[in-house]
Amino acid sequence: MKEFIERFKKVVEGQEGTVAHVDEWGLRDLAYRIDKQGKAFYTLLQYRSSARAVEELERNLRLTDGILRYLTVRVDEATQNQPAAKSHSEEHRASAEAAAAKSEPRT
Amino acid sequence: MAQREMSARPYRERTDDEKGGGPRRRPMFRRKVCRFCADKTLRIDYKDVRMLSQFVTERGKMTPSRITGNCARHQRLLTTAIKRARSVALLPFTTANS
Repeated sequence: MKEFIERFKKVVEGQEGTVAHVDEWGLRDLAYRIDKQGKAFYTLLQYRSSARAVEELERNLRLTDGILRYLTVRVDEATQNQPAAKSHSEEHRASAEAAAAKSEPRT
Repeated sequence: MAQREMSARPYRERTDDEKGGGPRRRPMFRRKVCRFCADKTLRIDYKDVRMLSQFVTERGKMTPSRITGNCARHQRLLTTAIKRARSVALLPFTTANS
């Protein structure tokens, strides 16, 4: 789990993005089974970056085994109480036992 | 919507389908107020499963704004939030057999 998060943080930072928040939700029940998994680790990554970083991150998420789902969402600066974050994405991954999700923001 | 149009008809025009319905009465109407308009601090967030699940049925369907009283704008935001939540398995698409 930890390595995953570090890895994707580096992807964002490698594209001149800044990670504002990392929120690990931990193991959670899925609302429906994904790849025969009933539980997954969710992680929310909030970052600010260029569109390129999002592409790069999503590409990495897609290629990584164990990521069940990811979601990138643009966070409107106005609605964001912490001025730092712009958008998030969520990705879920299953590391052998389960899955993980993360999310993150960008510019 | 459609049910309200009936009351516009003159009294004598009662039709068969109204038979046995008793005197035509306008149902008690309590104006529902959009929860999100009433409380500006409420945020619609796809991560907030507790909040979102108040707007879906036990089967996982979204409740129409007709029932919940949400305004169009917030219903729209809610819709995207629910769909996002579904895509990452925070909410079910259906409970048929999962």
